[in-house]
Amino acid sequence: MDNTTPALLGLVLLMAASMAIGVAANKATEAGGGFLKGFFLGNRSLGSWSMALTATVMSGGTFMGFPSLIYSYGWVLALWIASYMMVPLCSFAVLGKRMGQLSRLTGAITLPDLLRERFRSPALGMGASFLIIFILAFSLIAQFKGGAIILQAVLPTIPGVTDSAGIHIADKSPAFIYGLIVFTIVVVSYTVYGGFLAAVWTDLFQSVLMAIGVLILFPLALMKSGGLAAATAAGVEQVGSGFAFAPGANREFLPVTLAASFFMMWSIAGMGQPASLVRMMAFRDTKTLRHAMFLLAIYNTLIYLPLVFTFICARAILKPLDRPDEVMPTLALTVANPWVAGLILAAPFGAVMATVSGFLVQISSAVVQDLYHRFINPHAPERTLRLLSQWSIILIGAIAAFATLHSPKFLQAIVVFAGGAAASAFLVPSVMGAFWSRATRQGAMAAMWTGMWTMLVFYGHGWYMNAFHPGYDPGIGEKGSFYPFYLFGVAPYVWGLIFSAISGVVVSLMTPPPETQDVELFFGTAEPQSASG
Amino acid sequence: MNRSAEILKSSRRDARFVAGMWATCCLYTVGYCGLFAYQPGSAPDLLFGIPSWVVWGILAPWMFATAVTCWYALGAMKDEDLGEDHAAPDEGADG
Repeated sequence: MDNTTPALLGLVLLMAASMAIGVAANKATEAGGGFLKGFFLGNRSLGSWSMALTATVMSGGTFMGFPSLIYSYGWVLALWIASYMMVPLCSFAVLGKRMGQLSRLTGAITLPDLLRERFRSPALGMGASFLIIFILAFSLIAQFKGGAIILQAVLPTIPGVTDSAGIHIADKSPAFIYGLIVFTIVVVSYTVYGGFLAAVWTDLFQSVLMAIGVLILFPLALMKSGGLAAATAAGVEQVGSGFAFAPGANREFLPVTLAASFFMMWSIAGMGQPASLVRMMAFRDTKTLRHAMFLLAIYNTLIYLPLVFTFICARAILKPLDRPDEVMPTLALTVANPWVAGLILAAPFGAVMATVSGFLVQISSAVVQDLYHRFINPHAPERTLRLLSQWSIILIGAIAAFATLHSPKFLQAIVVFAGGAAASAFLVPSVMGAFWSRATRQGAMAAMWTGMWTMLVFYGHGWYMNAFHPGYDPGIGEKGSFYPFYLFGVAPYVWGLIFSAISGVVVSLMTPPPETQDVELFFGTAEPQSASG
Repeated sequence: MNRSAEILKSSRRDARFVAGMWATCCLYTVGYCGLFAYQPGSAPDLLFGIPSWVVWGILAPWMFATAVTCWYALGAMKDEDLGEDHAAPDEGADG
């Protein structure tokens, strides 16, 4: 038995568990009301644990990319991640109650639905649907690639099949192609079957797995390294004193301007992600919301700080790595026995599956509910909507898998762009809709598109510099092959949020106020009318 | 005051509290680290094996924020009745 066998077994068990979760989710979905609300929103039944561990930004990157950054740049990553201390309050206490209430008042089951109903603007809803499809499609390709890479690393070598003699597509190896096929079939199958609840429950499952992995890895790494002081000394010796200080080892990884930007990124921009916003429409009641906030505060403290400590320790345990992104599996296989390492390695794979599943449901809801059902066939029977929802997930999964074989060079930069663009486009219109009765549909539209265009301009500048000035490097942020434009050293999404807010307020004040009957339901006096009533 | 106005008032109070907490934690963390973390080249001053700027600039406010979040979630935040779930217009014709 080689040391990848337990890891492969761990992933197989995880995939089997995910399929079982899909079946259970299907039963829970069928037990509720209409198909759309069940499939895309889980019948507003999310409990505290599901809300706490699945509503905030967490993906394969948490357990793969983040450790690599800690290993490369040192203690400054504690400052980079510091705003996770505020994520529970920001994510749940600001928009939770109002999003929950507005979605119930309007019967909305998607974010475009909610914006459309709140501002009485089909154009706003349609624009939001297109942006969600556009933004999430890029993120989806990156997650498919991540899933295939993990599977590729643990697939057994079968002569003529997964070795170099097997099929090649584009520049991808046979092991990658088979990894991608297996990953696509599994994740699409359980999502088609279980919808939103399958995505949420697999996310919950992987979050628990991740916590177990971190809590096992941390004491093992601490003992093996001889303690944090020894690990810090080893890091300073290997990469210089920047390992123990900001802005980071061997590079201006995090100047003060970017430290402030990231404090805004995780806590504020995280609130504007479509996946987070839709969960604010799906929780059971406000008691659930409060308990979720409490659980997430404890969870984040138990996960993120030990992750920093653990991968600081890696410097004293491992020989210097040529590829820092391999630090997580290498450390796990070094300090733990292969079976425990298999469990630890299953966590990032579960995170990738859960993220993909959530994105598939989001894109499918935008296509089926927000575009087809709203604009093409408002009276479509449930059977048609069910078939369309399931086939759209299969089709989107197949397209994403195909695109992964031909993924663009700057994929990671596009993923960062997508996260920032989503926040820049959706956070301000959501906040305006929730709290400001004077906000107009023109103001919300301006806020959404200004945020999006700000991100496009700042990343377009990066594309131009990369294309016409090879080797362009502003010298700050993570070392990579693509850099956006950091105006005054501040990250693009901060400008996106600022310009979005300014345009939303200015345009709202410049346009006639909304009619009283359009806002009184949401801000006072009128009682809701259901569609049937 | 009807339910919408009550929940709006309660949510605005929550949002004001979060804005105050966020600004406090952001100013303290970024401010403290801006003053004490950007000193590469000097010998790190360690506390429990951790650079002291991490202990006082990040761990201390993190523990404070976690304690406040727990208190707010379990004691200070008000529960509200979010109302009935009204049928989405045009929910599947036979669903």
